Amino acid sequence: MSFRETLNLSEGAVLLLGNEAIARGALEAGVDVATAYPGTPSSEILEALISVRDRVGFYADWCVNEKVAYEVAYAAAASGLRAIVAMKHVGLNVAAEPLMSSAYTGVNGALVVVTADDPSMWSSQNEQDNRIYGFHSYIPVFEPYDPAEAKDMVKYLFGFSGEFKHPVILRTTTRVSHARGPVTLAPIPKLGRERNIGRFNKEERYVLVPSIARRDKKELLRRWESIVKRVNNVPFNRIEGSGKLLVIASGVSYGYVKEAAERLGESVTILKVGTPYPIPRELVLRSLDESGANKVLVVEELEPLVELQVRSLVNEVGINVRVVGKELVGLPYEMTFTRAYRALAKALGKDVAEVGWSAQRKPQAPKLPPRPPAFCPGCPYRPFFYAFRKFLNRSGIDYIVTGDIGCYALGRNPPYKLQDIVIEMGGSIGTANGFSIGTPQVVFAVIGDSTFYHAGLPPLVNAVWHKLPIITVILDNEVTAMTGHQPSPASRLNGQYIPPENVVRGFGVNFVRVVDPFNVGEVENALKEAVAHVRTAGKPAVLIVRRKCALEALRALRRAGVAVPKFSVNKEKCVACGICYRVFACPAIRKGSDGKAVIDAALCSGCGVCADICPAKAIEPIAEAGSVRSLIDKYWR
Amino acid sequence: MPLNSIVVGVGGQGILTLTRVLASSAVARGVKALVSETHGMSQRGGSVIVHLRIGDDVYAPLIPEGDGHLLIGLELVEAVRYSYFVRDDSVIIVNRRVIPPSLPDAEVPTEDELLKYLRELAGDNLVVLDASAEAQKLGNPVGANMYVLGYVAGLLSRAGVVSIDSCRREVGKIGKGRVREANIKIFEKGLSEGIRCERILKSICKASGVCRDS
Repeated sequence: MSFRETLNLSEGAVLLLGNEAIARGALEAGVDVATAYPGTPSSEILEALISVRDRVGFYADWCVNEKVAYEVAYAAAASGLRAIVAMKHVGLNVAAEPLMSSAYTGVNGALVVVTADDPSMWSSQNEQDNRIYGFHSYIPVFEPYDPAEAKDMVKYLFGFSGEFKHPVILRTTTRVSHARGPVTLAPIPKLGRERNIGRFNKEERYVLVPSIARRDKKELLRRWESIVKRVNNVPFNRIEGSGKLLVIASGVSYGYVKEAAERLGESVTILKVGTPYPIPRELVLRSLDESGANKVLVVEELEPLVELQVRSLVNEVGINVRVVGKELVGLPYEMTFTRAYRALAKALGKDVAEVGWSAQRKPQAPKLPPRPPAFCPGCPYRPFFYAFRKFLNRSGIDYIVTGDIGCYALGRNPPYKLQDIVIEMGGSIGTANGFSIGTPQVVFAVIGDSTFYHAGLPPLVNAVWHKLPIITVILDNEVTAMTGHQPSPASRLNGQYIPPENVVRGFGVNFVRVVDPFNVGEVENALKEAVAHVRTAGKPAVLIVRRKCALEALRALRRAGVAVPKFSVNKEKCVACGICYRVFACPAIRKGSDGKAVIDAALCSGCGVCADICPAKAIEPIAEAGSVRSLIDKYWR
Repeated sequence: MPLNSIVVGVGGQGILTLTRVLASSAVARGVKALVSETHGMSQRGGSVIVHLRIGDDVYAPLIPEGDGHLLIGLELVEAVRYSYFVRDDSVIIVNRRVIPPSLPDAEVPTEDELLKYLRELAGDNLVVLDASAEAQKLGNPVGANMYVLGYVAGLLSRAGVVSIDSCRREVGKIGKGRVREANIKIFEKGLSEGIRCERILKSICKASGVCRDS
């Protein structure tokens, strides 16, 4: 059942993705404004909300980056509306400035900030624990353990935020956001109504000049004091079971602790914590008192945030109880059953080897090849990196390629090996600035269209301003591809199309070339000219490499009822050089037993680039050549 | 005791769809189900693993290593890669298909080598389905997931934990036109095979203890 279909249901349990459950919670709470910038594992929250916004009657849309998304939602909440903003954990770094200030001013309606963290870095550059932002900003942090609780929590948080006129953080992780579980539905109050319009009452607290900020800080601490008391009475914090070991478990760890205790057959007291910051202090004390526990085990993912608060509390109150946590649970990566189980067994003084399940017999496994993700067949990034690699090999220049966040980060893998540093959104151009100042090497920055608009504009302005000789390559596939094809300002779908070439020309970049990656020779020439330009003029150059994402193009072909043109290898002509499968490395082309190329028709997307680069002209379209080229040009520009 | 299933294959094979339909049809039958998916980077032709847990006593999303009762593999290299999840009494259901990774010089074991290893692990509890071949025959070359879905849904409906009607409804919503028609045929073919596989049903029930009266 799709998320749209569940709109008509107001009771019963349906299977929802954690992120859809969050969206549903917002709908049931009567959300007015929802914003986000896509990022795994958060993207489906706003995708779900956008899919129903017109039928329900509220505003939901993508923003150019997380900071803007935060500001839009915050202003709506300051106008008395109910707003939600969603982002991945590292996105909150981009939005950290309005986050900090919003705690000082407070809001007027409700503001729910969703941060989807990614322990184990399944799709991220780090695994920062955003619960710590709560500590940093005086914003309470709520953390659900499964999709059902995520929905209940979001719904509750709109009320909680409204009660204190203060922002709240909902922190999920990959295993909640990307888990599917049964969620019990309740009615959606605003279905089919006109969109709510708020009003901004001009209060001084919103103007953070120093004198008012100082006053706001005192107010903030007063609100915080009430929040610290209030979290003892939220339904997501509760004491379960009995036993001399008190296990305090936060978020997804609660599920693992429950199952581990069951498997060990041990009775323990569990304090389930849904507010890792601030912890429910009275509940901690009550659970210690009621259980008569002589030991506390804190089980949480990543940083010891709950553990430090518990240690501080028992120290402050003067309770003689031993607190253990990270030394048994371990610090990095996501929680697993095994980690919770072993920690619990050790805390109970059990020999882990004794209580574990029986070892299995293991036959000798065949040696398996790795299967890293790769550019899709027909991906326009492949011919670009092919041309780029070829150009660099031929020119013999000493270079640095700075990379960025998106599908194109895969260009660092063999056979292209093109990206020497990838750290954050927009970091390609920013670090390129620095490398051009600090090294004699030719610096190329590689960045996608969505990432360019997200955080690439200021560093490019800096490069123009300071006349830095960097070559910025904007890989423009007209969509935010890796996170699931959300629109970007460079999309020609809806919204105002903003061609990157207009923007960079406006910045004062003199060398701007728009090239087609399916034309490998054109890309090589443009790279050559760009290098000459930065060397002679000592100023930035920009290449815009434009072709639609293959998945988008294939979808358009399917919708139009057009069969994808296929290519095959003429065995007579093939000289088994391996350029197509080894250097170009399209997943649809494999090495046959005779070393000659074989094209897998099920995978071939019909881009036809392999036919152009084949030195023996051995790759031929199955259909008539002219019609194939015109089809590609019609649906795949 | 829950039924812990590991569903694996290559990005693009429809693993998320298969798992989502199974889980929602369990929920439709009033049984709790929890799925943990792989998104983002790993979808670009990479190795995909999904954890599917069915049972009312499920609280955590990930299956412990060595605690999978059922391994469902849409591709043989991936089935072997994640076989550390299975136990001695687990059931392994695989599609007879090897997809080489897109690394030009990758050394890929043969189908026979991969199947031999899986048979050593699971013995009589290894089921090899010609899902890709059947799907090709019935009109959707990439519909192997529908065949395997049908097969597993047939088994689990007998175990009393999923609803075939709900699976049918969901399958009927996947794709359009001829693809949809082919998917339905492929699903039904798999279902007709799975629903009468008495021996494997018994093994699943024995390994997991999830079976209810149906």
